[in-house]
Amino acid sequence: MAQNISLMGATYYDVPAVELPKSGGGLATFTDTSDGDAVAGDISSGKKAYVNGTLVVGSASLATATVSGTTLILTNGFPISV
Amino acid sequence: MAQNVTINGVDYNSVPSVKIPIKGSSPTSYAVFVDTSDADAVAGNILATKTAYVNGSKITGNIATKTSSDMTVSGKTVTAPAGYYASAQSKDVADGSVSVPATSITANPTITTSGGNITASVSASQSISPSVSAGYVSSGDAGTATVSGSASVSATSLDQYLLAGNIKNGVTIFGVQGTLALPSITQDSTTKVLTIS
Repeated sequence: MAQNISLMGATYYDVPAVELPKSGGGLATFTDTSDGDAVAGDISSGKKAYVNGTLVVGSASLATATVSGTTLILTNGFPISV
Repeated sequence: MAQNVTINGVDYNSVPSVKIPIKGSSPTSYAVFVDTSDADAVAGNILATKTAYVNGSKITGNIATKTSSDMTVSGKTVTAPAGYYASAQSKDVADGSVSVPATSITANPTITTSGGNITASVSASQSISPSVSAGYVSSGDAGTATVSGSASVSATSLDQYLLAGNIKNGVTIFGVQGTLALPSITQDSTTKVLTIS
């Protein structure tokens, strides 16, 4: 997303990110993440992303398949090919 | 994550985000810009249409949501396509067996079913009662008739047996006078010894 911000008396429009000099050289990028909408359950377990300023660690587990008689039962989650 | 940054010659360590006033907000609210460099999710890790930021970039998930209707069955194989299953799903697979109700038919042939097996059996019998009309079968009519299975009928000319030597002396059959002299056989009533003369 992007923000209209005021800094040192000046206005900056549609700012998606801010870059600041790293102490050791180079630039550090800080990003506006306010429009993200994923939650932990939407992201694969252990994977990380930022949403609305917050680090979100995925919690969606892999599905597992079991067979009962002539019925395949798939648990909820992200399946690999079954 | 966090960065060590330098602004106007001043070092700021472990800075996770930067807050800057939003234009025109009152009371002042802030736009938050965060360091996303440590995130590692990719589109394939996030549900379709959901968004998040990774390493300064916005990514949109592409994992489709699936249900059991997306699962296919071929023979005894179930294929569950990759995707997100929001709840447990199940799919039935035919095992190829057919349940045959136990029954029987008592008519001939007999058909019975048991444990999925069908058994048919046939029983048949035919009685043959050959008869010969009065008289005898001449040699020209002699022959053998065979019925497949277990029955057979045979007829043999009597001419070969209608010889004088086969007919008891003093007896005439169909004009043939017998000459056969039969031995005399007696048995002693006490000793039970037979005497043939």
